[in-house]
Amino acid sequence: MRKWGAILVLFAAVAMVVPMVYAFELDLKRLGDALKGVTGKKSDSSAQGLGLDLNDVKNVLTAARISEQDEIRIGREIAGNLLGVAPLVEDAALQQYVNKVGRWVASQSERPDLPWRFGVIDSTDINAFAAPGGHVLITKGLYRLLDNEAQLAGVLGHEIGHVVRKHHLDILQKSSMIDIGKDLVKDRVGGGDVIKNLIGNGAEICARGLDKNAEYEADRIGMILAARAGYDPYGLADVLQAIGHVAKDSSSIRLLFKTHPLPDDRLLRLGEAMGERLDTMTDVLQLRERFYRLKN
Amino acid sequence: MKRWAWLCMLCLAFQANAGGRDHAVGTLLKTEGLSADPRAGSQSMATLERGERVEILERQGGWLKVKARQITGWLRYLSVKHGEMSKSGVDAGGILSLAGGRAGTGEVVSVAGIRGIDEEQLKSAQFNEREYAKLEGYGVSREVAQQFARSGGLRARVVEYPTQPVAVSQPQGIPR
Repeated sequence: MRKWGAILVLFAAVAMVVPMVYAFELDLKRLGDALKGVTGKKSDSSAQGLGLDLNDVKNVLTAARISEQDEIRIGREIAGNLLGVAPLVEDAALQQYVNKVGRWVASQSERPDLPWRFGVIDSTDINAFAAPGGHVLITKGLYRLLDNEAQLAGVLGHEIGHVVRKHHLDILQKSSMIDIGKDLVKDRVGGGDVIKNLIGNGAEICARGLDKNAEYEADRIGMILAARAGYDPYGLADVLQAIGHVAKDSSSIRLLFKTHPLPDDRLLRLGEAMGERLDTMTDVLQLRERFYRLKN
Repeated sequence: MKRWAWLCMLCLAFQANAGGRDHAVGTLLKTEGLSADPRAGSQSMATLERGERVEILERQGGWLKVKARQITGWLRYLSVKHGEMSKSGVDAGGILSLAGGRAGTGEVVSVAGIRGIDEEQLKSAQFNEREYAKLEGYGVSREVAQQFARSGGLRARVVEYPTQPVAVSQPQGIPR
């Protein structure tokens, strides 16, 4: 009877602590100590005596926290696969320009020191992709729709929003929560590349898309980051307007519409969220003259 | 003779284009009051319905000066969808430059007929080492980005994220 009671208490303790770990990235060693305290025993062996391996508990909890280093490795896999579908546009001046704008916008976010990388990929598709750890890719088809630097800042800001809020990691965790933490730990020890097996083909996540609320959130962040960077905050809205005017049945926009809410809804949500917030902003810039135009 | 025919066609095309630009059309995404001035709390001169068409005259920050029901007033930029509703889509490049307050370049975005990035390609994608190395190489430091911003006259400022709106309107299609 006492044994069952102890198991129940342990279970309750784990259930209470899991969300805390997720929210505050609680230290695992302290968690282990805490569990010992709850069971009233002194060592790991006691947990084993209850038929529970404390290491298993730790692994489950590790799943919820992915280190920045692992985040970058996961992002590398996704971005590298995307580049396998469409390489970078061969225009060094363009790529440097996009990196300067992107890094400036990302510098206004709560994660300014990630190794941010921006690229324009050679595809007529109209789309942009983010991958964990600071990877942002935008298609040539979308870039071609832009007319000034503020609009570029808005688009990059939306993708930066996905990275900052770890939207892709959330999806990965939901789909394979236990394995991820476990295998990443194994991977660090073994030095092998387990990430590939973990996330399958990394680029696949871009085909599945995120949930609608993540997209609305990224829109809000994109607009605010552009504003913080000194740009006309309505650049992203300009681009949503333009996207709304591309024929719905065009193959170039099919994936974007499959993975994102419709532009009208996105504009409406932005309007509701922003209200009067940006009305008093002055001296914002569009920088149309400086905007880098594609050569072909 | 043939040359004249071409010239005529060109002129017609040009006129049609210019005409479209002079009277940019917008459609309301939600029911909203037509404000007398481009600021919150200004007098509402009429309540325009969702789906109602307006003529867009100019943009000022987050506001659009429009004409509707023979009245000229202001609407929120985010409450108006630009352009005519058309099944075939319109000149998006032109729309964008209009949104920026400039005359359009007249560039037509040609995207038809080319296969886009699809699920199959993404699922079967192979890691591209060479391109990834290039991507890494293009990265710039915060300092370089800051210098770049300064040279463009950009000034960083404090703007708080909005809290998620409590009440959100249900997404609905616009009546045609």
